[in-house]
Amino acid sequence: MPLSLTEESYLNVSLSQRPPCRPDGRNHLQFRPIDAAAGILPTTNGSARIRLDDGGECIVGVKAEVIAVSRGSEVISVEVDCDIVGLPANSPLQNLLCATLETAIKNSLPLRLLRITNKYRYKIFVDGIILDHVSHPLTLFSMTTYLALLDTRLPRLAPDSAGRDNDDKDDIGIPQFSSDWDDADRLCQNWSPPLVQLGIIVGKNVFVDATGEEAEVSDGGLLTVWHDGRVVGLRVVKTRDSSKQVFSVSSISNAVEVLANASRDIEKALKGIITY
Amino acid sequence: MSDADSAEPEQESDDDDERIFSLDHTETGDGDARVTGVVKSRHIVTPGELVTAESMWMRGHGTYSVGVKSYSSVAGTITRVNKLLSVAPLRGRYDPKIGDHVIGRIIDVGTRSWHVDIGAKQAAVLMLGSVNLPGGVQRRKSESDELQMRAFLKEGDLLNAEVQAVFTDGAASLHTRSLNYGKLRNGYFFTIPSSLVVRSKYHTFDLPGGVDLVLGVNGYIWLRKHTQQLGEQGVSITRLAEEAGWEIYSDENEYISPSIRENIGRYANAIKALQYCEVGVNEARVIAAYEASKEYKSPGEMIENDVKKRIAKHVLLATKG
Repeated sequence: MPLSLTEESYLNVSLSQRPPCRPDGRNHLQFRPIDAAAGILPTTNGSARIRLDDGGECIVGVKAEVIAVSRGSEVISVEVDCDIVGLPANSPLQNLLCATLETAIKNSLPLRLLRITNKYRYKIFVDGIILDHVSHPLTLFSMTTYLALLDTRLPRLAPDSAGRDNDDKDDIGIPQFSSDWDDADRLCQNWSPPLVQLGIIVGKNVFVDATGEEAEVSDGGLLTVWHDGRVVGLRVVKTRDSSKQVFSVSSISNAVEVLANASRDIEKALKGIITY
Repeated sequence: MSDADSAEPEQESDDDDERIFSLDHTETGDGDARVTGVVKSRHIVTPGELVTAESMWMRGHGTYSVGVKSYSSVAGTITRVNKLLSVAPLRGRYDPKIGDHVIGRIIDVGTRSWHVDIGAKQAAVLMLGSVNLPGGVQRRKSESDELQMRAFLKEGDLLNAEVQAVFTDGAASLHTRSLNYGKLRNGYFFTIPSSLVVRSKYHTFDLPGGVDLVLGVNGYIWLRKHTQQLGEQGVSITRLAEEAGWEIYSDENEYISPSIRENIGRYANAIKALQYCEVGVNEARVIAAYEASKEYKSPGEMIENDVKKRIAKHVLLATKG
C-alpha cells in the first residue's frame, strides 16, 4: 500500500500517542462491522462466509472423510488449506494462515470427537478461499473457520451398525451412517474451536482489526491463539516490510492481554450467530 | 419489429426545449417493447435495456446498437444532447476534464515528467515545466534532471493539481503552477467514488474545527490541519518564484494536536457516511454531517451502518433547498 512520508508520519504519530487516535476514531478493541453467515454451502459438513467493511471476503467449507486407522492410533487428522486470490500457491502469507490454523485445531480437538468406531475415524478438511483482502487476512480467515466449524455436523452411525458403542470388539464392517441429516452430531456440541487473532503494535499501543494503512505504519504484529478461555499460543508476525522482529516483554504481555479480551468478545459474537 | 409511433405530438417540458420520449413496454408477439415516441431524460436504464428503436438518434457512449435498436451497455441515466443519445454510467472511473481540481499520487518518475495516479483510466502526466521550482531556479535540462526530480516529488507522494489538458487518448496533463497546489501534508487521505463528488467552483474548503478539506473531483480526498496557505495571501505571479521556498516540497508535518486529529477522523467518517448512503458530497453537506455527528461523543461510533444512515438523513433534511 503506497503511502507518502507525510501520510505515514501523520498515521504513526496518531497511533503512537497516548491515548491513540485511529483514523476512523475507533478504540483499540473496536472491530468494524462484519457481515457473517453460516451454512451457506450445502455440499459441505459445515460452512461460513464473512465479509468485512473494507471489501475483504472469506468463505470456508469443512468436509469430513472417513478413514481407516490402526488401533490405538492417537493421530488427529486435520488438513487446512487456504487459497488467497491474487497470490501464488505456497506464498508465505498462505503458509502462515494454513499452518497456524492447522496446528491450533490439531492441538485442541479431542480425539473422541472424530471417532466413529475402533477402526474408523473422521479426517477433517478445512478449505478456505480469501476472495479479497485489504488488511491482513489472518483474523478474517480464523473467524470464518471458527464459524464454519461451529456449523459443522458429522453424521451418526445408523442405529443397527455394528461396533458402535463397543470398545473391545474387533469390528469388521464398514460403518453405515444414518441418512437423517437432522440426526447428525454437532462437532462443537461440547468443544469450541480455537480462534486466532492478529493485533498490530505501534509504540506502546496495540490495536485489533487494523486497516491496511494502520498495518502499514505499525512496528509489527502479534498473533495469539485463543482456546478454552485463554491464550495458548503466540507468534510475532510481519505486518509490513520493515516490521520489527523483536519486542520488549512488556509490549508482548500488553498485546496478549488486549488480544485475549478481543478474542473473548469475538467468540461470544460468533457463537451468537449459530443457534443450536 | 416495433414501430416508431410518430403520432405523438411534441410536448414542451418546463425546463427547456425537450422533446420527451417515453418507452411503452406493452408486449407485442415477439416480446419487443414498443416505442410510443417519448423518452424521459434522466430515465435510469440497466445494461441490455432497450433505449430507443428510432433511427433518428446518434448513439453515444454507453449504448450499442443491434440493427436499428439501441440498447444501454451500462447501468446509468439517459442523457441527450441535440441528436446524441448516450447513457451516463452511475459508477465509472473518473473522466478528466480541463480545469478539474484533482488529488494524485506519484507512481513513477520519468525523465522530465512524473506519472500520477488520479483514479482515471490512464495515469496522468505532470511535466517538470508544470511545477513550481523553488527559489526561482531555472528548469534544468541537464542529465541531473532525474536525480533532482525525486527531491521534489517521489513515488508515493500526494499532491493536488489542476488538469491543464487532456490528450486525445484520454490521459490528463496536470500542473501545480499556483501556491494552492502542490505536495500535501499535515493530514489524512482516503477515496470515495468520483461520481459522488459534486462539481463546484472551489474544491478547497476551510471547515469548522480547524480542518481544511481538499475535495478532489476524482474522488480523492485530503483532510488536513488548517494552516494559512501561501496562496491565500494573494501572491502575484511575479513574486511566485521568490515566495515559493523549499518548504513547499517538505516531507515534514507540523505539530497536529490530538483534538485536530480527532476532528479529522470525524470529518472522514462523516464523508464516508454520505458515501455509504450514496449522497453527493459538497461543502455544505460535509459540514452538516459533521454537526450531526457531534451527537456521538466518539467518532468511532460513526462506523456503524445505522449511524451512517441517520447522519445522511439529517444532512439531506438540513441542506434541502
